[in-house]
Amino acid sequence: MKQYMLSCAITLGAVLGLAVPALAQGSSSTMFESGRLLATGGVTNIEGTGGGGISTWAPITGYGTKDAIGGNVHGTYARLANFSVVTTGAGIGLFDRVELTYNRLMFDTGPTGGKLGLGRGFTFNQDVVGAKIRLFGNLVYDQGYLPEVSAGLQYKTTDHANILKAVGAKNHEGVDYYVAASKLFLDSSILVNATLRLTKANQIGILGFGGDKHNDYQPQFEGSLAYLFSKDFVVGGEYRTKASNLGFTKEDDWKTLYGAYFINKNVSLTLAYVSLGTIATIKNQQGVYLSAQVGF
Amino acid sequence: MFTHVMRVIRTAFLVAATFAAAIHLHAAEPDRSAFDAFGGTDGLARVADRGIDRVLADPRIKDSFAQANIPHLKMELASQFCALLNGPCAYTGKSMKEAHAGMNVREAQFNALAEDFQLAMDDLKIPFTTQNALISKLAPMAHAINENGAGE
Ligand code: HEM
Repeated sequence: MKQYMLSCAITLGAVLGLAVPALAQGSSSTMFESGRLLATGGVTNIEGTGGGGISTWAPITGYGTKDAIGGNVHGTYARLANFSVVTTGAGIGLFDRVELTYNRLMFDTGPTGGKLGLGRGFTFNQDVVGAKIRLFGNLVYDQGYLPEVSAGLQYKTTDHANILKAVGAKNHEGVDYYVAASKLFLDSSILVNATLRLTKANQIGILGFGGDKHNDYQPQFEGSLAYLFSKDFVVGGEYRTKASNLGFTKEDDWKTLYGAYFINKNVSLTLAYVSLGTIATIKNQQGVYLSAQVGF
Repeated sequence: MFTHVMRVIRTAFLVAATFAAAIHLHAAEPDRSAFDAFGGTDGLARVADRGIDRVLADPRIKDSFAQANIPHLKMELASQFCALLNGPCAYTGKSMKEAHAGMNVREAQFNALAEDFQLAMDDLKIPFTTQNALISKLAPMAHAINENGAGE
């Protein structure tokens, strides 16, 4: 099923990514031209929003300039010590101003599901609908002190509401709000991102929203530092702070180290080492993260 | 309301930037390391030459240069690059706003030209970090060159 969804997403992506620009070129239209510079659209994060792997960035997804529309689909697979995560989704960037995204995340407890009393292979599914608006600034054209700054929200809903309630979560759905700033220091080939997020989510919402310990919005931080080795290859690290709202388990900050290869404006691949700490009482959830994005 | 809030935030950034710039004034010695890394005046003339040749072969933007005086453009660009990297040159051409007035240069065309210059610098075996020293000076010109705005 998951493999099926992944291949669906990739096929759809190939169609979107290759056919649309070809059509656009044929009709000499500029509406779908990939007019921004390579890699400046970033990749797609685990919530389906334009960013890195676990962090959210300011740029609007895709390669559309202020005169055009960009879009992409992605498939991501992460293999942790005891769990695995698959996400698929699609995003569209409108005139370098607005980003609209949909993402489905499947958190598979695998054999550990049995140990947790959920049943072997028990899977939480989460849908995320995201919207981002670029407020001001441009990653490339503003080489002074002004960063590119965007604000956004993510509406998230996770299934198995009864189980989430049973472990102490107050809700199976919630809305995250964030402000993200991205700054490209071209003369030193460094990209810095900082995001402030207001959230009630437990493990980004996979374990619901709010909890028996805390049930209010708390500010959380996401940071990312990347080095551009070349036009098409970026390496970096990310850090994302988290709250511990649930009594039955603690929750740790998330960290990644990643490399992203932008083959061209239609295809990018991201490989990361991820360290997510304790998830649902199971410690040391480290692993490998692989993501492919196809678009224009 | 929205634009007002934006203006306030932007002003705050600009005030912070002014302070930072004032502190920077102390470091008055011009940094010529990038100029040297490009191979000086001659090296930058090669970048201008090769870059414009690539532009003239780029179907996305070559038509814009149909009426241009190419040797003159290459000469102006070479001295502009040299001046931007603190070389011993003065740029005597038109301002970027004047030079591109009425051309309706779009963001995608600006970026196409930037890509052509990146490829030209690849042709000349100029390392990526050195390339970025020049690109970082050219990128902000989008605000003056693109009449309809560039990411504001
Ligand atoms: C960073 C980007 C750019 C820089 C640094 C740049 C620089 C220059 C300079 C120095 C001149 C000569 C001014 C003079 O003669 O006094 C010039 C002229 C010109 N530029 Fe640009 N330019 C850029 C982007 C563009 C773009 C994107 C286009 C069009 C697609 C364009 C089209 C032209 C044309 C047609 C001329 C006039 C040439 C002539 O009449 O002889 N430029 N530019």
